[in-house]
Amino acid sequence: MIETAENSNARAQLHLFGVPGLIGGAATKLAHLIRLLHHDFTITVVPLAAGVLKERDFKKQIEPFGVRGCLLRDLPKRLEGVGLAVCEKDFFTSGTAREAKARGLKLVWSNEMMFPFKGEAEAVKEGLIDRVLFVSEFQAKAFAEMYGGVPSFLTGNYIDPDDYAWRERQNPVFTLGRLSRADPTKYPLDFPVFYEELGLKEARYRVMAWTHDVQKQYRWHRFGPEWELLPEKKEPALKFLYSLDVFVYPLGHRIKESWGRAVVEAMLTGCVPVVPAGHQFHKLMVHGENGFICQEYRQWRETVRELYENYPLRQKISRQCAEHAREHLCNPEQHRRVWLEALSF
Amino acid sequence: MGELPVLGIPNISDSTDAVPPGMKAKYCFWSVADGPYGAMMENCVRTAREAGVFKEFHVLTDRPLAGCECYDAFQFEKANGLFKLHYLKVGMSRLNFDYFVWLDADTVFLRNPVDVLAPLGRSPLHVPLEVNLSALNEDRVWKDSSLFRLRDLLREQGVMSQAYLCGSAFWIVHHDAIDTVYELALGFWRKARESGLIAGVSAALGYAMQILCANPEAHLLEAHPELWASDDMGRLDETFVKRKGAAWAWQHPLRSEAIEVRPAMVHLPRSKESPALAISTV
Repeated sequence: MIETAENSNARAQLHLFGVPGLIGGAATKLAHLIRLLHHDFTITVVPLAAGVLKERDFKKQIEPFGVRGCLLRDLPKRLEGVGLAVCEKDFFTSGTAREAKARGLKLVWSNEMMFPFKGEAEAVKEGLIDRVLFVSEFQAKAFAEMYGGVPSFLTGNYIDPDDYAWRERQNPVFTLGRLSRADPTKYPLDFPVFYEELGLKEARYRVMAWTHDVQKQYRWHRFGPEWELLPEKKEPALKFLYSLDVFVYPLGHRIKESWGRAVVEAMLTGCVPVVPAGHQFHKLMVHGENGFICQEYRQWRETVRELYENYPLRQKISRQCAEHAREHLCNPEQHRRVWLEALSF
Repeated sequence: MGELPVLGIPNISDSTDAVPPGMKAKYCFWSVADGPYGAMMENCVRTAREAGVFKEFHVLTDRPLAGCECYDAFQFEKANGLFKLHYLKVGMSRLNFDYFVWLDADTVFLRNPVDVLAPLGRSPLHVPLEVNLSALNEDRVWKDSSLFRLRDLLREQGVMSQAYLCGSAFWIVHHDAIDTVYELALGFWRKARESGLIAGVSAALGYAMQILCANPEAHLLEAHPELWASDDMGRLDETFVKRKGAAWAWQHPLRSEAIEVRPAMVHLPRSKESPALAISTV
């Protein structure tokens, strides 16, 4: 039986290692987990750096939910409950994992990436990790050898749907774009060609999380006035997504798997997603009903052209993708149950 | 013999943007031609001049060649053709052009091409794609390699659309994409080698092409029938080549259907054995 606030006198202790925020997959995941689980656990957020505790953005993510922030060194010598770290790159090398374990926490680790972090394999061998969480079966398979013998759990990703309300949109100039981490590998090497050869008569391209390193990949290309290349955090994600009619998300050959957090956020707002085949996208949408999954370039082009020319279709899919994301992908109760199980010992 | 500018001297690679709108892109032809290929290259340039082509030809070679800007080629291994990529990276990248148009030495110009760079579209690389590997129903061996295995490897390495086979006798690359093309092509070649597949420069370039072009159909050979084709089937004779402007039926040895082309530039692989074929254009 899962021990929750409803069936226990004292709420279980949950220590979240990392920094919740609204930019970046791991930070957002922590922020949304706090909202999802703060009734079930007494949550303490444990950042690895002291400076974070005073940051306004950090406080905004924890204080409204009765969650406190504290460095590990300031916590009692003996700790109870669970310690959860999500994609915290220094978790192992800083000695935090070993220390947390030594103080009595059950350690739960969620890597989120397709590669191990420094010190992660050694931590597994040392027996520091009591349970490993995966966002997908594909990821679990990639880590199967390294985590052989460690109990695992598939949790997926939770996104608070209230942060991404649906909105009707019809830009005067058809606007397509994308939002992702500011990582050059998130963009396909033919990215500007990909958008421009869709063959739209008049379109605007908006991209957020554009950096010098991303730009460098495309030195051969001249970005015309139809392009708006915004740096990371230039706009709140919601405002950015509202500005797009369609979320066109080619990934390229360097990304082995994308869970698609940005895609789900887009769906919630009603921004119609057009995504590549593979990855986890078939679990997020049904092609033609609440988004589009394309394999070949000609399919991308046909799909985007159809959406460009057919506003009623765009509007219909916009509503359907938002409803689907809200009811099935981001259903708080379903996610809460999964997480309670994943964090119970 | 000229020397390639040494690294560190400002050249186009220091610029930050592609050619601004309204300004014509600068390009040159280039090749590597030593030994008997030197004479072929001289012939290629002669036919170009005769057709009214006055762009520069930059050639890595072992002796001065008439009509060419020449650079020392030194000794190089020709077996897999990768020297084309190595010379692109260490040589051409130092020259002040926006685009580099590779031509095999056994190429002739029948006319002045209208717009050599047009097939690029918005892509930084153009290699004419010749055979749709995804449409093959049964495996074939081409240049000692299984085409099914090549197709599978292209897929595994991220080619999402139909996978195509191409040659390497004619291709165009943007100056600022040289490093990317080199890394993609060599990376693919290494992957092929690791998996026991013999892949030459054509497969490697074809991979880079299909990763960088978004829309492969825009780069099919038949999409640009006026520009370039290779007479792989040996259909052209001296009389035809002398006529210059006539259309002919291009066919890849692996394709069942022929396509009518009237290219300004023709690759004549048979001219190595029958030099009179290439010289007949003069």
